[in-house]
Amino acid sequence: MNTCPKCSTEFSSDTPGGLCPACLLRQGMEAQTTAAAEPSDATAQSISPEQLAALLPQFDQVELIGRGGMGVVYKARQKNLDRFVAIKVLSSRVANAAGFAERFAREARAMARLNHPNIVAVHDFGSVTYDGHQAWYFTMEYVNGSNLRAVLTQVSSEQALAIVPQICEALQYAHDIGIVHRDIKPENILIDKTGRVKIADFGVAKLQQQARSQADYTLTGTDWVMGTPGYMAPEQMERPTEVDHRADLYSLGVVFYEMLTGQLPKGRFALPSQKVHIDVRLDEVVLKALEHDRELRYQHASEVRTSIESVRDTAVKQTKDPVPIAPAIPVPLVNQPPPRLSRMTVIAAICGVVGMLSAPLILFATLSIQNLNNPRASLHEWEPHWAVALFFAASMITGLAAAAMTLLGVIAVPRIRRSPEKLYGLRLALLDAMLCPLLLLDAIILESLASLAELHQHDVFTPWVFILALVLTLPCDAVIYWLVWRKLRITKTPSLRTLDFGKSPAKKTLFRSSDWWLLALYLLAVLVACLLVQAVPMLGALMLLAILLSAGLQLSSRWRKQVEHERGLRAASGDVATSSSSTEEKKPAAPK
Amino acid sequence: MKEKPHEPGGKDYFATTRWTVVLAAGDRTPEADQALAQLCQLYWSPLYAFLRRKGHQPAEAEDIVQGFFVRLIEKSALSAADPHRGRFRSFLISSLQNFVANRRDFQQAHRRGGRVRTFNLDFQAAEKAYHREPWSDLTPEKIFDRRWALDLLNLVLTQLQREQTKAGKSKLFERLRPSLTGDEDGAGHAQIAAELGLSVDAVKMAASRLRKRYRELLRQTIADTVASPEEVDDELRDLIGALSG
Repeated sequence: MNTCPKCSTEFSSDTPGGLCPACLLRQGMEAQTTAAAEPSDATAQSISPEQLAALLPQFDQVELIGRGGMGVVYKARQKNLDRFVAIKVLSSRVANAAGFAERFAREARAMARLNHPNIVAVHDFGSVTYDGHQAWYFTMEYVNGSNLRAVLTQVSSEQALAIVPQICEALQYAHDIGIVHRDIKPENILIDKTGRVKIADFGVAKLQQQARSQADYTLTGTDWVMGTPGYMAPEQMERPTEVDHRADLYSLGVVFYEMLTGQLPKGRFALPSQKVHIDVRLDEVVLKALEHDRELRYQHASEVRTSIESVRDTAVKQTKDPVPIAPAIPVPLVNQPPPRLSRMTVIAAICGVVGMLSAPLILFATLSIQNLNNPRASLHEWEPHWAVALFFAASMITGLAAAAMTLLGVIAVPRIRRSPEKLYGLRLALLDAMLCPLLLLDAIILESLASLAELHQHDVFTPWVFILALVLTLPCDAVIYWLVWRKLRITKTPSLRTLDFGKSPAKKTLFRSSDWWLLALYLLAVLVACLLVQAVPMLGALMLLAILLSAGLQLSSRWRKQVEHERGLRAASGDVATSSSSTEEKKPAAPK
Repeated sequence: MKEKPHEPGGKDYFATTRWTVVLAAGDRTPEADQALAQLCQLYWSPLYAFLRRKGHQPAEAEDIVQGFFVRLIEKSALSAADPHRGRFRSFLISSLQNFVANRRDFQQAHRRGGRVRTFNLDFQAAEKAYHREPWSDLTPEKIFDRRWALDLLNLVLTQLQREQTKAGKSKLFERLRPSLTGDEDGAGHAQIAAELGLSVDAVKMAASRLRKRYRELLRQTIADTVASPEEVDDELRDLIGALSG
């Protein structure tokens, strides 16, 4: 692995001609510009840790810890305070621009004003003369941990929800005093051993941009765009001089998206929830942060934080994290409410009961009307118009109740499936949705049974026919219900990185788009059922049985869920306790 | 110093493999097919690296690449591409993703293209190159873009070398190659001049011409993979971004 001395890009040895590929490509870009002779950039890269220690006598134990586009970072011990600091020596390509010293001082003062637990503190700045070049440097707080890039692939969505609000706090603080970062990306987001997030390099991008435009690196008339492609807001690329704090929020959106999905949101990107199993409300947060038009974006970092926290606080921890990442990021445990029974499902079930109660009235009214026509059996002394009114009212109520139950059930099923951490009651919802179609099926079975009995000159209402009907219809319903339930129930949460080619993302969203199909199907079923209100008492009995059965199941599952929830909370708090104690143990071993 | 003026785009495959030719051919024409085949032949190894990073085994990745190209060339897969804009690079990667995601096509390709080596591709070299990548922290997409940039540069430099050798300046080219990254090195020029028995000014002139020609070739090669010349700079920026991680 080689590192380009000019732009510190890392490249493997098989690159064309052993030359730095990034520099080679940059030549292509500069073809259209008046190729200004590039100042040689020997300074920052050629200072070895030993030389830096000699140049800055107040430090010792200097070691190189990283290279970036803007310079080289060293770790060193400040002798008099006996503390570790990070020293960033700026690339001389930045520093050689005219008027740099003044701008650098101004920016450094602005950066030093940033005093926030989530921002890397700047201690001091200055310059050293080395080999005829002037090299500018910052000293800043040393963060013992790693940057987000290094742990990005291991960050779970819960951890992302713990990291982003901290970034928001820092950004809000900086924006409040008028400082825009301009280069938010995983490399600039540091996470220390305790899990605290610290943002580095505030304002450095601005310095670099000014240096570029000063050095006449004009590119087709616009300013040289500084920042990192992929993380930059659209306006940052198009009109770099008009960038305001909302550009940071765009970059934050990109970082958030990348944390959730492992990819950058390029082109027509997929929603995070289509790629990984997360709360769909996070899609809205990401989309709003990534709005092309900054007026439509979040206007303040604090709004992003509020949105994320409201999602986080109303969600329950779904699965245990497979492995804590290093450095361990303790996810703040929020005391979330236990999941509740879906209201829609309950209303649907009540509708079902109402419909069931009014169904016998239809039969009663029908019989009355028939009896009125039959002079021999004058059991009921009803006025004919009363019987007709009752018939219509009861039919209306039954029809509407059945419609409402199925409709609500159909809507409730996908809702419950989408947010398993908030709602439960999938089984009842499914029953609500399927009861009418199932009863329709039963009606057909019973009808054919009745005609069969009539064919053999049997009395339709003998106990034998009744038992046969029960045996035929109930298992049939149960099997269909079970098959659908098996298909729909929430399977175990997929891990963050199971984005194999084989699994088409369309599968997950299929149900949502097919809601309308189910609805149409249902309407058809009701229409047909209205034509077949013959075996009403038997259907009523079946309905009652089914609802009682499902209510029993629901109650037992509710009880079980509550127990699990409590156990989960206890286990989670235990985890945090052990992880924090283990970091405590490690700490004293670190300094030598 | 009589140097033949290079007319931009007047060399070898550069005239025919333009992505625009493929895009412009709304319907399938032999020229468009040929252009597409040539483009594929030039830029297949990023696809291989992408698949490997995705977790496919070498043999499987080979089969997929071969099958994918067979399908791409045979079927009118182009109709799936946005005819208005889009770069060849994004087209290729998104088509491959669709191809693999669609199990039916995939298995069909396994059957038809699996054992048939339609394209003569050096998978061993691609596998070696893949292992040289610092891939531990890169996404498959990033690996793809990285390989793409490197292949592109290789293409340009090979072409440049071919031209220079033809003009009998291979030695000078070898010495001046490091200056292609934009390093002005006065002392180096003097040394080269002394070694090759030329004047310092002549070496300087040659270096600047070489850089100019290199830029032309680079932009031309990129232009071949984008829909319009205005996109060349965007593509360059993207590729630089891919390389600097």
